[in-house]
Amino acid sequence: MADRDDILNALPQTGKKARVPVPAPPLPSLTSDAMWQIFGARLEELGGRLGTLEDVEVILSRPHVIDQESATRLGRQPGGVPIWEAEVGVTTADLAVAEIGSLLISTGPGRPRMASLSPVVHVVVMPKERIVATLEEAFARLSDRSTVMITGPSRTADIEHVLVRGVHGPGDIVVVPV
Amino acid sequence: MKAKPVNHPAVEAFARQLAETTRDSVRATSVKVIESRKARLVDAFPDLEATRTQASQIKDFVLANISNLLSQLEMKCRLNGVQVHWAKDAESARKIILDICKEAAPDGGTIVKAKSMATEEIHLNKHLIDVGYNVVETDLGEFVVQIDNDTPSHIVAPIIHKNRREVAKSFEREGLGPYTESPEQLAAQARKHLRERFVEAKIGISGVNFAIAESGRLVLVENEGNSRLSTTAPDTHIAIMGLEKLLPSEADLPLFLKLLAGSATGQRMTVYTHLISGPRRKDEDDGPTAVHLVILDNGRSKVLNGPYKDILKCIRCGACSYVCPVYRQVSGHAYSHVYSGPLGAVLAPALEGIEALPELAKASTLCGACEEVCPVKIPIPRMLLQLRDEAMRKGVAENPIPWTLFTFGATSGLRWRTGLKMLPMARIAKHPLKDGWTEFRELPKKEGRDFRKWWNGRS
Ligand code: SF4
Repeated sequence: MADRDDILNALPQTGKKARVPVPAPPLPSLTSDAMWQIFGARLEELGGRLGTLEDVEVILSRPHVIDQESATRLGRQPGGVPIWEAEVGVTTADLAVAEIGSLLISTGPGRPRMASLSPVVHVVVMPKERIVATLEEAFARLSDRSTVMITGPSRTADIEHVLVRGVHGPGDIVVVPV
Repeated sequence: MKAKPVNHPAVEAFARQLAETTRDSVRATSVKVIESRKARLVDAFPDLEATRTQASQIKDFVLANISNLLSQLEMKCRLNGVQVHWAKDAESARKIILDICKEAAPDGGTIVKAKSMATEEIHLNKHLIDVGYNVVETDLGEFVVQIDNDTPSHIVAPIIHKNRREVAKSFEREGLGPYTESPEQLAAQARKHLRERFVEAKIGISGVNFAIAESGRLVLVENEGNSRLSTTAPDTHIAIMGLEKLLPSEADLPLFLKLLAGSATGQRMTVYTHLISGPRRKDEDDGPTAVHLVILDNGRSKVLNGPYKDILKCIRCGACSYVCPVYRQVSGHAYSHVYSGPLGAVLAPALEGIEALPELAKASTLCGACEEVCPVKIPIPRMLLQLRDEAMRKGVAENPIPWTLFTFGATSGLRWRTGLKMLPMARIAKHPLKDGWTEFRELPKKEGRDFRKWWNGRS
């Protein structure tokens, strides 16, 4: 702990500069359908897509894990194969963010972090109402638990700046608003 | 941003010594990124100028109140169950991390690492490897750098200097799979190989992009998923942050996340934004059971009290490198420091003292492109001038002519002697290029990297 006091004492004590408030951007008043349309377009640009419950049934023929909330919604058992063997992960999301095609997913009971990360396909089944237009609105409603914001499939451009999807996380994302 | 040509003979001479492929890779990638980045930022922020000013002012606030904000961060982290450690220098940081590792994995084993400049800065890998840990870089680019015994050449695009054939050869050599020039297949080979490391690792080490004082939340951004895997799968997560990486509140995040993604890669948002609120809670299914935060000073408090403090507003987007005509000619290795490009030309001597790196500030045409793109409006050209002036006044800039960057290994007595001490003379004498290039390329060697292997591997 000696380092702590040394560091804090060495830091300049210049005191307050006025904290510039971040002005709230004007909130667009969009219907949920309009927001999902924007979201869908953004997601497609990123290489993901919107899907239906029928799509989910097909996808679930592969080894999978399902979080509690999605299992209830789909009338299935939560859990599934051991996480490292799962090819598909089904989760819910706290919020979709229309302007950038992002999903906020917090952890919690029955909501394993790895379900949206380890498999090659990530399916998100979530209630239609959980969408906001802007990132600012979304962050005003953050869960206090560890949360990930996912914006499209896992990607890398490290090799010659060529875009490759699915390098570590899921290369496919299917979002199903219900 | 149009590339501004550099006609200085010394820069050209240096660039000629780089492998043709290296120059082509660096230039091609730079141009692509600059174009998409500009389009994206203008699209995301109708008034980009005002946005940059705002971001800059928030960072000014952070620097002016840094000791209060750090105390607040510490308190909030503790409440979240994060164990907070303070490290005044690299040695202290390494000791803290090593002690944590010894407790979490006393018998050695695999440590998975997400890309982190702070760990590069303290040369962490080497020390952990020396005591028997299998430290694995998991970001695709950093992984290639590691298996090639190379050094990253750009803070965001570490293998900007390599082409796919070089990567393919390395993967074949390491037994990752058959030779292929398809980036998709190369990525798949890496995924498979690294997945096994994630499964076996007991410890994950990462950096931090933003630490939120108000909530104690640690924010990590990435595109691949390796950082999330490194900080989720193992039981212990160690995060290390330079003490300036603060934001006051979560309300500041949307602005900075958009600016960082747009400036770094021209994306609307990075794929994964990981907001860490502490270790796994009792009712949660997975995640690390222990999270440690190491707050690193290592020269920063000194910088904050001096004329170059604004460089600590940097959010490490790498945009200044992409637009810098010097960087584009010489690539990141020429800076011989973990922080390269215009950012590095200020930050490296600011952290280590002008006496140690007197020539770096000359690595600029002062064209102003870096300041023009910097999302937090850091006046880099002004600081470079100031550094040159300081070097002259202290009599450490032995060569008054600019553009001697590539000979600084020879002109900076301290560094050169340090280099020589660690290095058999034969290595230099035998080398085909007995000029500036060879000389400063020896510097990374003293951190335990094999220059010769790096050189031979580049065909
Ligand atoms: S100095 Fe500015 S442009 Fe350069 S990396 Fe830092 S934030 Fe980005």
